[in-house]
Amino acid sequence: MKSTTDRKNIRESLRRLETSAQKIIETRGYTKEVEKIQALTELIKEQFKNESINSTTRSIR
Amino acid sequence: MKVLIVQLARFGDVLLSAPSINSLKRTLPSDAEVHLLVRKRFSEIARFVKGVDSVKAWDTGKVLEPIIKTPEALTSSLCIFEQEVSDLAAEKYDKIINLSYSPFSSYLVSLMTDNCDNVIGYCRFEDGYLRINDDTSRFFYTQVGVDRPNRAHLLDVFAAIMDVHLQPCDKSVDSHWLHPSLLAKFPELQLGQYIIIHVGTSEAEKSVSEFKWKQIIRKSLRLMPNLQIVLVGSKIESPVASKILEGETFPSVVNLVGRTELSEVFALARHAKLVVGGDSLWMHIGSIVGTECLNLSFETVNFWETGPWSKGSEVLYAEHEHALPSDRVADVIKQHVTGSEVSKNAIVVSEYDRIEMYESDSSWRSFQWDMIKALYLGHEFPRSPGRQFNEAILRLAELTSLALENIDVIRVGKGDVELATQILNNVDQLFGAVAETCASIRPSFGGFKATNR
Repeated sequence: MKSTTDRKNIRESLRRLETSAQKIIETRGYTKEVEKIQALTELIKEQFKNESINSTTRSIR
Repeated sequence: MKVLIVQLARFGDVLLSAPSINSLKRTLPSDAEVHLLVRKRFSEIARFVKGVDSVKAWDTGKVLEPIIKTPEALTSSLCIFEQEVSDLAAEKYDKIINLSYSPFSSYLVSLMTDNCDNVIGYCRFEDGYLRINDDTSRFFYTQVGVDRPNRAHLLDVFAAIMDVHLQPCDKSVDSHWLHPSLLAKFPELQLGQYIIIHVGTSEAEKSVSEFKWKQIIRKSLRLMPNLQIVLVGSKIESPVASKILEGETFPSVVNLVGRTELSEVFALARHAKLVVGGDSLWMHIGSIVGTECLNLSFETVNFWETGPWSKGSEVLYAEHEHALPSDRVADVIKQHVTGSEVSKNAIVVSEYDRIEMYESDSSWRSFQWDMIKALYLGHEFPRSPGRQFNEAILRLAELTSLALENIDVIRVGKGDVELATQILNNVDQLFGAVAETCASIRPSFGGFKATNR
């Protein structure tokens, strides 16, 4: 994520993913589809941490 | 039998995992396969882990490339992600050991297998909640981290997670990576005589400034004029080395920053007298080849967990680099180079089998660490540090009683179940509030949290 456009695109993707996950949970509950979306969401969030990943010891819920 | 170890952290973490992986491979049947999943960016180091039969590279860039171009390509990213997961799932691993402890890895592992009972480390329950099957990973979840009081080294935590007993042979790389011939392109090196200084770290706040390194080098050379000092680091750290050497004439300093291949670094460290650096990969390179390391460590890192681990290594700790006089660093370098006795208050790798990696004097005693040892390892409970702790313990006891009463209401199904659920949620938050106000209660609170997983 070098440019501001990259960041903007990825933030928008993150927003769309979160909305999709929420919609699926509301209609069909927690499915494998949601799990995939959550995984991709977390993968994206890692990029915002420090452009890659942090230590093995970050907090988790 | 096929085992997958997931280590999606950095270079240093891959090397920290290596002894446990080597130990696991040594103890498995000869036809068992050990695969290691690492990030593509750090996959090169994985080939030096001798217990690994196959390295799998996780390519984050490939998955995210479409959405970095446009958010409209979300489906493409999801498809690539699904394909990557499906390739891993097709391996049908009998056991997955997740040493990553990140939210992403917990979902990834869950998607990779139909049976999370075979997972050690983080995965997910069917309803999406974090699932931790093993006690050591629960310990990791609640007690391990930079701002936490844990003093068990990650080397040992990983070994406990993988249920292996480390032998000296596990803490090594294949001997051909140590051969002096690998250093033939650096004829200026005085093998066995030089010290290494790693000028950078993965994060700026873990490192030492160029000015400080300059001072440390100057003072070390004043104390030991014939000492050869080799600067090491990656290509992107070249400007740091240039700044250190700017305006200086250090005849015995060799600048190898950006000039070494990964295949050379183990030999380079093996033939050094000492490896000096911040909290960086080089502390683990030095450690795995058995060379003494001197770690300049600051409060941004929990050195107890990730410091050097070779015999004779030392940690010089200060809150920040300005509190670490370069004279002192030079003195300690001299002690290591000349083999003199370390100072009384030094933090050094213990020669005895103990829970903490390091020996240290009584000024380093920690009530919180004593509590962790009492809670998890059956050690004697320490004396209360004072009134605030006593009151916090009383609050935890009251909240526990309240929680138990309401769990009972839900379990039996008699009474107002909705209200009981609401109270339980509030109790959870109140536990957090008590821990927030009293630091010394946190290990106990952590233990409680972990049992909920």
